[in-house]
Amino acid sequence: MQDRSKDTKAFVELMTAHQGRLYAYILSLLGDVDQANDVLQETNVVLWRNAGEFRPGSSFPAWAFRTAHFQVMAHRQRQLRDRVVFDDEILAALDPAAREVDETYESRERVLAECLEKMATSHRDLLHRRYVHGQSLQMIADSCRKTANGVAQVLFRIRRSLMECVTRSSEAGGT
Amino acid sequence: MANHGSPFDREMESLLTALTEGMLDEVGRHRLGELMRDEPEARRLYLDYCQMHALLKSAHGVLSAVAPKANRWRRHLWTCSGVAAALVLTLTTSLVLYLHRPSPDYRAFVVSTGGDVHLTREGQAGPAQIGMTLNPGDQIQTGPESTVDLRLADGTTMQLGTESIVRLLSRQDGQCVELKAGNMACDVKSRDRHEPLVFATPHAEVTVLGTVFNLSAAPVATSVRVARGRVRVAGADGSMEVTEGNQATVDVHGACAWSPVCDLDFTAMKDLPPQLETVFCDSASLHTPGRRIVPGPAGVRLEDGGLQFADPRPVFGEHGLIVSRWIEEVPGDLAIEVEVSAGDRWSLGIAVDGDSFQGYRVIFAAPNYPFGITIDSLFPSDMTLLAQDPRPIPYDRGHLLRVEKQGQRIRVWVDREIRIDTEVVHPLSSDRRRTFAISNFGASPLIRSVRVWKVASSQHR
Repeated sequence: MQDRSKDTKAFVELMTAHQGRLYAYILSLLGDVDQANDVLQETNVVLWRNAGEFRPGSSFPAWAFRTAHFQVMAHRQRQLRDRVVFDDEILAALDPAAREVDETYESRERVLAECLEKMATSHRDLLHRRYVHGQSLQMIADSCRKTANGVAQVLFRIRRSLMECVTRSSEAGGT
Repeated sequence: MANHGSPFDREMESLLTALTEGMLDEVGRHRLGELMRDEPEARRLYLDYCQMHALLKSAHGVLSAVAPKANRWRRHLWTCSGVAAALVLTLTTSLVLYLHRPSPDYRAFVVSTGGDVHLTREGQAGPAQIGMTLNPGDQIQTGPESTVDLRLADGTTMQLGTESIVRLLSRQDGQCVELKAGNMACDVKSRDRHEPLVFATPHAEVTVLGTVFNLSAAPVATSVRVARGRVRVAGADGSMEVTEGNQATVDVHGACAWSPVCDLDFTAMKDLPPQLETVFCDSASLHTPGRRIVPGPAGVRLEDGGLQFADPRPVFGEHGLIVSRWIEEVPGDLAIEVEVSAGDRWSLGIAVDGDSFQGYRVIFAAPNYPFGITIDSLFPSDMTLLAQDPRPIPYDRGHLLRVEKQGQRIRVWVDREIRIDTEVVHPLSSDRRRTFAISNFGASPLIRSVRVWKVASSQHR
């Protein structure tokens, strides 16, 4: 009983630690944030259901990404054709590229705080409102007298600027 | 990467902005597909951008750390420009260490479900399934027959009871679990004192560093019962610490801490405790000043699964009231919880501030008296009706009955739903025995447990 509880705890920790990476991978293949959220949940359900098949000590991300890949494919089959962003040919090219980018996830995650600290306070506040409090673009726009499109553009530039910073910093760190 | 401001850059900005905000239309999807197929640079930018969006979605802790605190520190440094450089160095070092600590993960997992459980995310409701992740902002709700077990990333477990609503929140002061209604049993793993887990209800906030407790949020009051460790409970008028074995209630009148008087689990008991004395009074003398009260240990029996009052006639030869009363003196202000099993038609009396002859009696499920719940008193001799709630109590399932008395206020709950909240001014005898009791009132339920608390400290207005 205790062993099972310990295994459950370890498995939950692995799942928790890989949620960001799984989401990035699934989003990359689907190109749609709402669908990516749904497929991440479906992937979690399958991972949890098949937890007994995972051998401790083997690669959790490899196993989880394989499961996520199958969930993405199953999801695409259920979608109407006009809701699918990428065709099979593009998906075949994106999959290995997304896994390659995933190899940088942890090193970039390590330097994210440092890059955020370098940003303007107003930009950090904007990210906080959007990602921590989940405020809509319109809500943010109303409170700072901008248009929703204007806020979306600022967010794009912030993300892009952060991308450049984490890339530089993680490469400088030798990772 | 292409130069910022180039046509390519503007097009990617437009497409990726629409993508992350969920606004990519059919034309946009088609164009993004073309770029992914034909432009390696677009593909790389797209993949990096998706990754950054995912990183930020997972970075609640880091974002919370840099957003508000950096402002405060900066203002502080400006106003204290004369402070020695050593202080700046210390602050900088602390900041670096703080920002590089592992980022807390505020998500939860659905570990098991019993019955239909619903997850609401961004206004959309759907069934919750085992393995699903709950993010800050998500709300999970159980129904009349369903339960759900959640586990936070740090191993903290939360078991939601029936008809409960919980929302995960990420606040500037850390992780918060909002119990909007219902009840939950929590086992919180040890936490850094700077990052406590906060449970919020409509009436109170419970701050936890690592402990085991039960939390219940009813429309009129919140209660927290600590099984291990300690928690801090804050209401509108201050806060109090609740330690192991104790409980606290918070409502519009303020907070109150309770300490245990007794915990009688009849399901595991072979003999009744010596403090529980059972007596009998025949119906003919019950409502007269000269009521005949005689010892009646045979009036109750321990059976498999609990305690039951006997049918008086075969045991005592006549109808009457069987009372099991606590012989030790306890304060008048106390809370009594009685757990009864499902069964045939039953009724039960719980007496506070005196036994069933001298104190206030709360009668549950007595047919036609009126049928739901009644508060009365047999002092000085005849029954005096003080309050009533006619809503029936179903027999086909077990119940948790609670009676609470503080000053003149008596409150009565069934399964965490308040049924009576009243002030009683009916005088009692000054030389009565200060105690509590349970009694029959017709057929007896199977009583699984009786738990009693006295007021330890009160901030009631």
